[in-house]
Amino acid sequence: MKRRSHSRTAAALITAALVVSACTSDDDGADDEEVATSDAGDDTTDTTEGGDDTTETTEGGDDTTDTTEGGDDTTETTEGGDETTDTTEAEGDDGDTGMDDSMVGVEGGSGCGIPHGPYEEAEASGEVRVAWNDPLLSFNQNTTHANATANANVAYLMHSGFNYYDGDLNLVNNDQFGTCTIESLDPLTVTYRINEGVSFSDGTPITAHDLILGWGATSGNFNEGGVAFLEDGSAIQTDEEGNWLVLTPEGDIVPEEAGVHYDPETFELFEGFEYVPAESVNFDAASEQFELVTQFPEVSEDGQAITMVYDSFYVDYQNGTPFLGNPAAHVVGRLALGIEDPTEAKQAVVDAFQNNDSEALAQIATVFNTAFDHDSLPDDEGIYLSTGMYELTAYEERAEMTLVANPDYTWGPQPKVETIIYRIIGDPTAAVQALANEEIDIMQPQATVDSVAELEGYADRGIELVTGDTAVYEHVDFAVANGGPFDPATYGGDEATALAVRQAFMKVLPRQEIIERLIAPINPEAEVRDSFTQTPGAPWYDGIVAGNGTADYAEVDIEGAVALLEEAGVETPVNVRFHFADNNPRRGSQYELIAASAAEAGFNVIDGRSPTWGSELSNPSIYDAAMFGWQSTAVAVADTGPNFITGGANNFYGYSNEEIDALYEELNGTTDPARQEEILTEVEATLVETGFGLPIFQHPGVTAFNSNYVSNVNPIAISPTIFWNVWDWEAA
Amino acid sequence: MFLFIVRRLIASVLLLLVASFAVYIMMAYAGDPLGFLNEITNPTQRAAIERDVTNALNLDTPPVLRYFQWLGDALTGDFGISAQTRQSVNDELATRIPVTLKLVAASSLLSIVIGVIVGIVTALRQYTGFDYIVTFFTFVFFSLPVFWVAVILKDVGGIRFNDWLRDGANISTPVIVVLAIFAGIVGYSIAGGRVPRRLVFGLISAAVGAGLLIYLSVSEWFLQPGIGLPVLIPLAAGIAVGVTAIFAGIANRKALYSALTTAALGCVLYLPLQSLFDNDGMGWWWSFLLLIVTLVAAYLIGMAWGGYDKGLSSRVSMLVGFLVALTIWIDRHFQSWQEYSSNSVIRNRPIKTIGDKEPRLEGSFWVLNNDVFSHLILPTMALMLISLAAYTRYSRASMLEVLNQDYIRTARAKGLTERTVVVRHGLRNALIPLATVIAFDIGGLLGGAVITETVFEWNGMGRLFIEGLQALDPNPVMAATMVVGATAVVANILADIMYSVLDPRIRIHDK
Repeated sequence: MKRRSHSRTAAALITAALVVSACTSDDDGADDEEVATSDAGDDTTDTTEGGDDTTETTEGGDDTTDTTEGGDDTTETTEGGDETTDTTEAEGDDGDTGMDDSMVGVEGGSGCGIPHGPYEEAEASGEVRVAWNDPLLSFNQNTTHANATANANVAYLMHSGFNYYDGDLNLVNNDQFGTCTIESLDPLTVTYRINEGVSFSDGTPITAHDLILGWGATSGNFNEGGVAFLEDGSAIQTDEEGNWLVLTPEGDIVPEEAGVHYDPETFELFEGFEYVPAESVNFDAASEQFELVTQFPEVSEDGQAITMVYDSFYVDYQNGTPFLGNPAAHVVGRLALGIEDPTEAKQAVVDAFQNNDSEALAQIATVFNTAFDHDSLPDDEGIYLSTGMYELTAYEERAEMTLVANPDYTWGPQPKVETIIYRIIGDPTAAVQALANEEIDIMQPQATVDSVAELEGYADRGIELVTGDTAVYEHVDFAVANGGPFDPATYGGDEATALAVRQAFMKVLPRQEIIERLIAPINPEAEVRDSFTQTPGAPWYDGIVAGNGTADYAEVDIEGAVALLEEAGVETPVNVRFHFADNNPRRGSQYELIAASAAEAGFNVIDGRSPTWGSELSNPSIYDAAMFGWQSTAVAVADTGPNFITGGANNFYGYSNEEIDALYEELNGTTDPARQEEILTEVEATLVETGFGLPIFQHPGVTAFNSNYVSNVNPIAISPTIFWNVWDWEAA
Repeated sequence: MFLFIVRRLIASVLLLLVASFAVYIMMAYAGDPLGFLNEITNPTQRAAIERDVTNALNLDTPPVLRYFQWLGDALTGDFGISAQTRQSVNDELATRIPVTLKLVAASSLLSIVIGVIVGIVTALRQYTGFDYIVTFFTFVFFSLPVFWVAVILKDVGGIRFNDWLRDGANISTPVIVVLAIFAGIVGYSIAGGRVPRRLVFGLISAAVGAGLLIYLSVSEWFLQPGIGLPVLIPLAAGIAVGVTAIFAGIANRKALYSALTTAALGCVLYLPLQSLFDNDGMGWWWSFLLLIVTLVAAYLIGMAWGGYDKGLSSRVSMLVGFLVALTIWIDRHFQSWQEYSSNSVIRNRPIKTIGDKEPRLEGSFWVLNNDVFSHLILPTMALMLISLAAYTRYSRASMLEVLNQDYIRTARAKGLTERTVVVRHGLRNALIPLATVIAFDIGGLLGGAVITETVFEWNGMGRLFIEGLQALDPNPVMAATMVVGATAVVANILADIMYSVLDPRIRIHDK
C-alpha cells in the first residue's frame, strides 16, 4: 500500500521540534529526564524548554523506520481490521483501510487526525510488567513542571484522548471517544465533541466542562500577568510590561509607574498603598495553540461539545486538543471550590472561567498546579481517576504501580492485557538483570554497545530486542559570527571565502563512517540523516532530501575540500574549535573520526569537549563548530523555525538569512500540506547552500522484552514510545 | 554502672550534635536546595514553592543559625520537609527505616553467627587446609566492591539459580563428587588428632555430604523444601547431643537428659503446632509468644532434672529448645514454599533481584515471609560477604591470643578437658573484643546499605540519604544521618556495657 503522503494532514508530518537534548546519553529514550535536569539551569535551553526533553508528550516524531522494521506491521493490521500485508520498510503503511484521511484538515473534516472508526472487541487477560527508570510524580501531566515522560506514560495508560500517534506516526483520531470537526479554516474554528457515554472511572460523564477546563488552564489567557520579587522575597503581581502593580487606598490596581506611589529616595510605598501580592491566577501550563483562542469557546446545547475560534491560524493545530485526561473538572471543582456534587462542581469551574472570577480561578489554578502531585497512591480517588484503558489500583511509593483494565471502558482501542505492572527501576544494570530474571517483561535499556551485547546474550531466555531510532538527531553547525574560520569577518567580510571554508568542512565530515562504526553496532538499520527538518522514514523525508542538496555531501570528498580551500586562498591548517559534550564517550569517538578526516584536508580540529557544553552553546565566541543532538518534541510542521531564523531561540551561531525568515513566516500561515512541503524543501536547500551545517544521524534506541510473557511490543520513536500500542500487547 | 551509662549518653549526645552540625553546615554550603526550581516555568508557582520551602527550611537565615532552628525542630522529633518533594521527612523515615533495618539486621546477625563460628574453628585448627581456604576466601570477598558483587550475585544466585530450579533442581554427578570431596577435605582439616582419625572423619564428611546432596537432588528438595517429622526427630536428637557436648560435656548426664527431653517435647508438639500455625491470626506476635513459652518450658525442664548444676542444664535445655523451635518454624515456611513459588506473581522464580517485597503478593504469614526471605537473600549476602571477613579474622585472632594466655595453660595443666578449656575458658574471653567490632560494624553496614539499596532497588534509608545528597536537599540527609548516627552511638554504648558483663576483669566504676 502506498503512502498517501500528499493528502495527509499537516500535523501528521514530521519535523523536528527543537530542544537541546543535552545528549548526555540521549541514545536512550529512557534517560531523557536526566537530560532535562542537566539542562535546567542554562539559558540557552530555557527558551525552548517549554516542551523540553522531559516533555515527550508530543515529542517529535520520527522514524517510522524502526518501528516497522523492528516489529511487524501485523499489529496495525489486527488493530484496525486491516487486510494490509505489505511490509514496506521505511515506507510503513498508512495504517488502515478503515481510516480515511481525505477528510483531515479540510472544512467539515477532522481537526485532530485521521478518524479511526470502531475498534475490535478484545478480552483482557494476563499480566505484563514494564520497567521505567523514573517514578510517576504527578497525576496531572499537563502542568509544565510535571511534563515528564514518566507521568506521560502512565497518563497514556489511564486516559483516553482525541488523538494518538500510530506506529507510522500518523495522528489518529479516536472517534469512539470524540471528534474534532473543522467548522472553518479562516478563521480556524474547530468543534471538539465528546461522545455520549464516555465517563470518568467514578461514573461522572466527561462533558464540555472538562474541555473548558482543559482550554482555560492550558491557554494561559487567564493568567494574570507576571510576577516580580521584592527584596524580602515576597512575590508581587506585575502587568504585561513587567510594571509592578500597586493597590491604591481606593482599591484600584495601577502600575507603579502610573502615579507616584512611593518615596523616590527609599522606594518605600506611601501609607495606604501596597503591592498586589502574587496570589493570583497562574496556571502552570502553556499551550501556544490555545493561547490563540481568546474568545470563550461556545458550549453546545447538549453540553458535550465546545467550539473554539482561533484568533489566527496555527499551523500545527491538529496536535493539541482541549481534553486533559486528568484533572477532571468536577474534581477540581470539589477541591478548589468545595462543591461536592459533581454536576454543580464542574459547572462552577466553567462559570469561574466564563466570568473570569479571579478568586475562584486562583483556587482552581492552585489545585490544578499542585493537588495532583503524588508519588504514592493518594487517599482521594478523585486525584487518579481514569478515563481510558487502565485504572490505577496500587502505587507502592516510587516503586511499583498496578494498572488494571477499566471494566467500563468501551470508547477506544480495547486492551488485551488485564494487568500492567509499572515497575520503577533506576539502575540500568539492575533492570537488565531483572528482565533476565523475569521480574519484568519490557524495558528500554541504555542504547550502548555493551547493554545490547548483554541483552543479546539473554536471547535463549526469550529476550528479544527491538533496535531503532529515537527522536534525537546529531548534527554539526557552524558559528558564523564569532570571528572564527567560518565567519566572513575573518576574511575581511568576504562571504564567499567563509562559505568555501564551511563547505570544505562539510565535505570532510565522515558521516557514513560514523554510522558504520558507532551506530550500526546498536542499530544495524541506521542510515545517515540528510534532512534538517524530517527524520528518515517520515513521509516528506525522501522528497525533501531529493531537493535539498545534501546529496553533494554524501561522500567524504577530501580533494574537493582541498580544492575549495585553495580556491578561496585560505591558509591551512585552519583551526576549528569543536564544541561537544564531555559526558558521552560516543561523542568523543565521533570527534576523533571527524578530526582525522578533516586533518587530511588541512583542518586542525581542536577538541573542545566540555561538561557544561549546554550552557556554553549561546556563547559562540568559544567555539567554531558545535556537535550535539536536537530532540524532536512535536510531530509538527513549523517548529524548526527557532533553529534557523534570524535571532531564533535555538540559532546560537549568528546565522541570518532573509529568505529563510520569509519562508518560515509563510509556512506559519500555510494550510496546504503540499505547499508546506515545498517551503520546507526550499528552507533546507537554502541551509545547505549557505553552509549552515549538516545533520549526521538519528540516535539509536533499544527496547528489550521477554517474548515468553508478552508479544506485539512495537515501540515508536516518540512518547509514549513502548506504550503507544499497549492495546496490542498480549500476555502469555 | 548507672552513672557510667549516663556519662556515656551525654558524651554520645554531644558527639551527635557535633556530627549533625558538621553535616548540616557542609550541606548548606554544598549548594542550593532550590536548584530544581529552574525547571518550573510558571512564575507564581515557582514563587510559591520557593516561599514555602524557604520558610519551611529557614533558607533565609544564615546556615549556622539555621542549624539551631533545625535542631530545635529535630529535638521535638520533627525532621521537617524535603525541599524536593515537600513531603514530611518523618513520613519517609517511617516507611524507610523498617526496610533498612530488615536488611542490616539480617546481614549483621548472619555474619556474626557464621563469622564467629568459622573464626573460632580456624583458630582451633590453625594452619590447616581449612584455615587457609577460609583465609583466602575471606580476603577475596573483603576486597570486592559491593556493586560488582551484587551484579555477580544476581547473575549466579538469582538468574542462574532460578533457571536451575526451573530445570528440575537436579544436582549433577560431577557437582556431587566435587562437593563431597570438598566436604571431605574440610572434615579432614577440622577433625583433630592423628592422621587415621582425621581420615575417618574426612571420609564420613564426604559420605554424609554426598548422601545429603543425592537426597536433595533426588527428592527435588529445592523445589519442595521441607524437614518433616522423620527428619526432625534425628535432627532434634543431634541438636540435643551436640549442644550438650559443646556446652556441658556428654558426661554431664543431667544436662544431656534435659536437652533430650526438650528435643523430644519439640518433636511431640510438632503435629499439634501445625494446626496452630495454620490459624489466620498467625504472625510475628504469635511466633514471639511461642518462643517465650518454649524458652520457659525448656528452662523448667532443665530445673526439673536438677542435679548439682541446674543452671547449666537449663541453659543447655533452653538453647536446644530455641534451636528445635526455630527448626519447626522454618519447616513451616518450607511447607509454604511451593505455594509461594508457584504464585503467578512469582512465576516459579523465587529468588528476586530487585525490591524488598512484592507488594501485590497475597497469602498467609508464611508465604509473605518467604517473599521477604527471597528478596532478602541476595542483598544480605552482598552485605554479609564484606563484614564476614572482619568477623572471621577478628574472632580467629582473638581466640588465638586467648589460647596462648597463661590461664589456658593452667587450665590444661590442671587436667580440664579440651572442651572445657576451649568453651569455658577460651571462647568467652575471645568474644569480648568482638563486642567492639560488632558496634563498629553496625555503622559500617548502615553505610554499606547505601550502595546495596541502590543496586537492589530497595527504598530504604540509604537511598533517602543518597537521593537527598544528590538533590542537595538538607532535611532527608540530616534525618538519615541522625538515625544512622544514633544507631552507631547506641551500639557503641551497648558494646561497652557488654564488656563489663562478659569480662569480670573490667569493672565499670561509677566514679
